[in-house]
Amino acid sequence: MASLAGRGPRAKIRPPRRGLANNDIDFNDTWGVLEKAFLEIHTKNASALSFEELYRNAYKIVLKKKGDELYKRVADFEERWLAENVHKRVVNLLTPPLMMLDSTSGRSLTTTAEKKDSGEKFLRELRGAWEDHQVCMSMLTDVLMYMDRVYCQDSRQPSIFAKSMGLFRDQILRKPARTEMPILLDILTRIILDQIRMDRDGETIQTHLIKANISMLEGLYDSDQEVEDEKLYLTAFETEFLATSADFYRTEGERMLRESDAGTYCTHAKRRIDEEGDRCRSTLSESTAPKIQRVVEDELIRHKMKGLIEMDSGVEYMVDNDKLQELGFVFDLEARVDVKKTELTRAIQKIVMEMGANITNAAVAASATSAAPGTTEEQAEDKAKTGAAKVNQVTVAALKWSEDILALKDRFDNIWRQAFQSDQMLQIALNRSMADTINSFSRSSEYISLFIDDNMKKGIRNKTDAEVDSTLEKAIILLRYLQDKDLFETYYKKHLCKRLLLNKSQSISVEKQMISKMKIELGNSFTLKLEAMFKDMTLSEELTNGYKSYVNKLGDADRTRVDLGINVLTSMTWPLEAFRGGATADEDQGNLQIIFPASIDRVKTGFTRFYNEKHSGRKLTWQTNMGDADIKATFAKAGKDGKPRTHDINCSTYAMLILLLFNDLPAGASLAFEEIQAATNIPPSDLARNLQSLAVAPKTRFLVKEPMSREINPGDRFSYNENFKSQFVKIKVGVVSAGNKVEGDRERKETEKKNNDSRGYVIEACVVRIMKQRKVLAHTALLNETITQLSAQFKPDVNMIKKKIESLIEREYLERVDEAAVPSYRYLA
Amino acid sequence: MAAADASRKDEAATHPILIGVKSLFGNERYSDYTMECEGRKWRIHKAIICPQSEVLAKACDGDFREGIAQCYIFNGVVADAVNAMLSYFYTHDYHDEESRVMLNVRVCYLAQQYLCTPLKDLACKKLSSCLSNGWAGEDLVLAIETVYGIDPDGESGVKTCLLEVVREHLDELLSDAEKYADFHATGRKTPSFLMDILVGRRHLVHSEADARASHVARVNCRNHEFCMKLGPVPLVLSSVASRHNVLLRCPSGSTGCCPA
Repeated sequence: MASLAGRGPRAKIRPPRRGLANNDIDFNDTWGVLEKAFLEIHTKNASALSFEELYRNAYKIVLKKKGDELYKRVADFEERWLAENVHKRVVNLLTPPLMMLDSTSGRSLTTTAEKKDSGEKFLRELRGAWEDHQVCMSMLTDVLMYMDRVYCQDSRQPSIFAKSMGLFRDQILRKPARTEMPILLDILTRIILDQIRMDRDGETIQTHLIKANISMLEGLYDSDQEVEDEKLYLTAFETEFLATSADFYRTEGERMLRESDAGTYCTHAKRRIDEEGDRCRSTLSESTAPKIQRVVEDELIRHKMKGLIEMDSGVEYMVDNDKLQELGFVFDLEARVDVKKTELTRAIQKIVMEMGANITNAAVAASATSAAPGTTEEQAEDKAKTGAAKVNQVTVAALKWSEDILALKDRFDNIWRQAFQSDQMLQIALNRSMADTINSFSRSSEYISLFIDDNMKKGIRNKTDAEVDSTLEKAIILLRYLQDKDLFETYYKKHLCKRLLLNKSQSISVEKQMISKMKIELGNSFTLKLEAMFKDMTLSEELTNGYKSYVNKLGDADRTRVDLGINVLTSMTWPLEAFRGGATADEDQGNLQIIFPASIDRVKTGFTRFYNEKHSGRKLTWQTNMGDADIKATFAKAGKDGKPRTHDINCSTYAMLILLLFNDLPAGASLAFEEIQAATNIPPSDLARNLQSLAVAPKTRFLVKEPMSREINPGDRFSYNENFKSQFVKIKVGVVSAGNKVEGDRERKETEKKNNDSRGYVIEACVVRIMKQRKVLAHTALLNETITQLSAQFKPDVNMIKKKIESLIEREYLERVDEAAVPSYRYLA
Repeated sequence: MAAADASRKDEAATHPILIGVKSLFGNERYSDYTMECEGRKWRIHKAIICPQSEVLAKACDGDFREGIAQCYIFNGVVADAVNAMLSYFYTHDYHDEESRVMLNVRVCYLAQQYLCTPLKDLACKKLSSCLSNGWAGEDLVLAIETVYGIDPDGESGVKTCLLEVVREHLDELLSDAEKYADFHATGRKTPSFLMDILVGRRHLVHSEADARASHVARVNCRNHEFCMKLGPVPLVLSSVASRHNVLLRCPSGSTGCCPA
């Protein structure tokens, strides 16, 4: 304590500095040192300066509460420096044309090369000024760090660096180049946009110069608040850039649509998009890439897609000429802007529908030319004349239709795989168009069945298993699109029936393969009846063999006994009307009992007895109109030198009956048409057709007709042709109704009517099934449920459902629910 | 707690990296830069100094003379303070056995100038600990003169330390003009210092008033049970009172009562 009182030490350790009153003088001196140093820094002469000295001086000023004054002085210094030195230097490089904001007026005065050159000079100078400013300011910031940390933070001023960046913006970029001229920022934007335009036109530009200036704009803000969204790059440049780019590409797109072809357009558009992305990375700012690409996509794709697709060289041309690569380009382009590919989808659907309509129209036209002359009678006559080998023209049209539709599908499947990257949207669209095409044609069910029929009879001959399988698969493809599956079933049954009974099918195993494919595709119930037909065939074969051995066992090996081959058909399963000709449709055949000669009748009763022993309580109905017979016939002068010769004749059962009549006739005698009919009971139309084969067709003219003409008329007389000659041992009599061919209009109406009737039953069954389960159901719900349940078989007609509901109410299966809010039905047990 | 802290400190101190860094202080090996003050030179390691001082980092790396010559010369400070600061960068501590008060004051200001807050805090702590061990030395007066010479108007940790000591012993300092002649002389020629003392007292009065206003209801006197019912009580909260060494008085008149 005592030592504190001593005076000596006090004098010795007095603090070195006093100067409490000379703050102002101190400040001016100290600032003088700093200002001089700053000038050195700006003139790139800093190596002799002492950081310590400058830092200490700035520290002292702030410590003495003169931070605000220092800050102001530094800012003033910078402002003066920028305005007096830097601005002048930059502006000096501006040639008058560069100062014009409207670039078009400049163009007339200078060549592109000159403009590019002077633009680059300006960009280089501005970049230099900016870089210098940054370097100097970071040095200043270093020595003024104490001011930034203490004064700026306490008084909430922007750092001196940020402040000086704002000064650069205000003193350089926002100052007009000269009086009455635009500000430098606008000129800069214009020059950069000009350079980019040159780049787009294929000139080489100095990308790093632009990039540097863009970085400057990215480093500066619209205001001193330095809001992130208000960078000068965004506010002053990017908007302008996007707008001019939109103009540029709008014009370019329009020109391209006019002047070039679609393929070139696509490649160009794709290149442009990539280019703009690259340009953003190399020359502008990465952040602009998605924006400018969106602009290009808008202008070159989104707004032009329709025009592009509809060009002369557009999508239709590409499809017609198999330009898969170019279709791929179109797809790529639209896929960029639209997940759904709306325009392309619409165009492709339209083309498919048009092509499909053409195929259908061609089929209709082809069938019209041949079907026009009139009835099947006449066709039959033509056929009898020209021979059985001639295939009906309408049937050809049907086959062509199926194959064309398949080809159409193949073609677009190929396009879809190769050009459309197996896109799901387009697949759906293609499928819908194919289905529409097929279902818009009312005869498609019949045609598809005929297509299968033809392949079963001829198409699969000499084919490998794999080829057969692909043929069947094609049929299934068509079937998949088909809506009226029940109608198809009707036709298929009819066609299958003839193939089986007339032994036309190439291979039963392929038939069965087809059935199992349909089973997979359409379900069990669809193929139930078809399978039953095959079962009948197998059973019949067993029966025939059984009968043969039964007859042999009887012991009376009668050589003259007629052999019998028989097919026993379950009556509900087989569409027996298939064998009825169109003309006989409304004749009541059931009551007519065909009269058989004794030799045939013996076999018939024999089999009936045999069958009844095996299955009691079953009634056999003999379908004589479907059978055929092998006869050995001896003609007196048919051989060489007029010697008798025996021929093997294959003909229908009816023809056999007719020929047998002439066996018993004395030579030279004749029978009238009516006499033959009375003796056999063959329906007149069938009789006429068979007589036509036997007495008119030249190769099988076993009978002579009187008078000699093509038509068979009542009153015509027939006699045995003694002079018949043929070089073949085996002769086949053309069976007029044997082939499966397109129905006549009347037949068709009948099929449709039947189909509608059966649909009626199916609908009724379905409604009852639903109501039994639900007891009470609203009208609309019932309709929807019915439609859903039946859609696998066909598309039910709403009116028909309503009618069926009415009829069910009448028959007291259902009743209306009176108290229900919405119309409803109740099931009556 | 204290034991755990100590062991953690020990563990930190024995960390090989820290031992390595400490061993480099004053060691020319691997050194790559020179610092100089009052003719005294230190070979230092930029890798250790620069990450801890942004200012020195800028000087070492920049385009000024210091960056080119790779030498930094301190001016206007004493070498001992620079030594203490450099020692701090290597060891996070410095020795203050000699001229303790003044060294701590100088280190404190050096740390402030070079924007090194942790060192400034450490210096303040060391200063107040050595003042609390013996305040009545001549160092106090010297320190006051130095501090008010460098920065008469600003606020700083050093000033707060010194003013606290002065206020605590103000009665004694003022009562013996003979004994504390140096203090009286310094007070007379340093108006900022006197102002700070006065402002400090005013703050004290204010805080007493604040305490009365906000805590009156909770204050009670152990010996006078009814005093709280007699309206506003000029009682000073014990916490405020003990900090500022004010005697507590009960409104009932007698001294020596303690607040409950």
